[in-house]
Amino acid sequence: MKNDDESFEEGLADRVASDWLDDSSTASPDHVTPDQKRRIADLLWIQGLLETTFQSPETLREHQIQRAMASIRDSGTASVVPATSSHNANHRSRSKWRQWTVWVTAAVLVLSVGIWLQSRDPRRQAFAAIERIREAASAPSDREYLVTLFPADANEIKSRPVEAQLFVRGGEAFVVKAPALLKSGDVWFGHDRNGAWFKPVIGPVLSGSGALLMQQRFMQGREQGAPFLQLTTVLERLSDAYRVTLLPDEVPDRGSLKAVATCQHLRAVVRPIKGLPDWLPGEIEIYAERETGTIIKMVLHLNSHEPNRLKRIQFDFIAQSQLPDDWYRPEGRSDSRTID
Amino acid sequence: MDAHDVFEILIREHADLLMVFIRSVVRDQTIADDVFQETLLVAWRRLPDYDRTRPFGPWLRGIAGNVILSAMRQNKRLLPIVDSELLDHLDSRCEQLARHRRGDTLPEKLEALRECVRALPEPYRAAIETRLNSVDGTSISIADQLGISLETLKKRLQRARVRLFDCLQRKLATAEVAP
Repeated sequence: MKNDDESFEEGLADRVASDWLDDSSTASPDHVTPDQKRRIADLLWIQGLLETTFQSPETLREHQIQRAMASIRDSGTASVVPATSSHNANHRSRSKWRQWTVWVTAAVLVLSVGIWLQSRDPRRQAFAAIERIREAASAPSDREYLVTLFPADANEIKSRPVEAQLFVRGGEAFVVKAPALLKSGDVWFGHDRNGAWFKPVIGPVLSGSGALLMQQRFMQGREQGAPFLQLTTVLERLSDAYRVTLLPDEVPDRGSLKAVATCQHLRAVVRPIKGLPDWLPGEIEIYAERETGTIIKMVLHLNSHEPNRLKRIQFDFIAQSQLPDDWYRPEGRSDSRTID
Repeated sequence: MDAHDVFEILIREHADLLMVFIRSVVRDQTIADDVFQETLLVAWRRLPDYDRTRPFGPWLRGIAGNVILSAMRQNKRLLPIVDSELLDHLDSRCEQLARHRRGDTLPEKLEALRECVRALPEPYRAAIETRLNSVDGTSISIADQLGISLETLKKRLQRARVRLFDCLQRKLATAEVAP
């Protein structure tokens, strides 16, 4: 039979455990005895057992294990190459981030939002909003975005933001129209299920069956650290890399662009998982139409504060339209001569 | 079969109890997932230090304990009372379950817990089951759902856990002495 002291100890321990488990209170008594601490541990353990037994499906555990094993295998093979490694960051010129790989990366991020923006926990409030965004992103309609690259040292005159037009259809086709780096005029990049192509200011359209061919041909190996090749692969493994929170609805600031109605506002913050590529945006803000799930504005906050590097990539929705089928093909560009 | 494969087999064998250990002191599912992931990554890096004559489960949970203590320093949502002493006790409970002769897998072993839940008085069982099936998991919504006050709900949950712990201990002890 327990004496009064033991009963008192159990009462305090039970209350601490209960307050934490059922009130989310982290208040803690000034002093607990070793017995009280063990009692608290026992009650927490029971709750942990209950949740693992009744709440945590095997599929979730399998997913967690696979995710960890993928990270472990990657860490051993160094297959994920950061786009802008610190090793050579200081030697990069401003022109580097204006090159086409950045635009392509931006395009792929929008195209693949359905891949990397996932929520596997049905209790999250953001779940429904994410599902709508994923559906809208994979729908076979044409959407046009203004993409703006903000350099880290935006105060300098030479480092003004650079803009491009991005057209996307469904989850796989895109076209980017961007200002040429050296010549006056625009360059075009495109990609659809048939492959990728590039149209310089002067000269024929260059096309290839894949990203690797394009990189070899046009970049002459200068951009080995570019994320394009790794990006789609990496994104598939990043489905849980972000913690997504649904914030109060908000009217996004669109600057001089046409104002829009109140949007759902989501914030995705990268989790502190070791082994993630360091070029991943640390935080992503998404504003989406409540009814359709169309992304109206998306801001990728990059981690770099170094000069000559990007600080932010912003996407602003311009219009939804019906573009011709060959818009995403090299044939869709006038005066196109294709070199395979 | 390379080292990755062997490690994966070991992890699969111990993942459930590892998550029990983590979820016992980490309430937030996403933080628990992060701790789980980080534990496996650290375990992989430290695998050469693992003494093969010792059981793998406690070694893995020892790493998880360090990850949890590290996470606690950064996150105030974790219970401040959690320390190495409390974690050691939790580990001993997990090991007690792992050694338990009833069933080969954790789900089989946990059948004893299911039996204990089924044996709870109805108000306690309803409180526990509603809590586990709750979508948002807040006590207020669970109390509303059950049509009871928040204080009553907390009392029922608290007493239910005490009964479940005592019941499970009895069953584990009975199985240990069974022929």
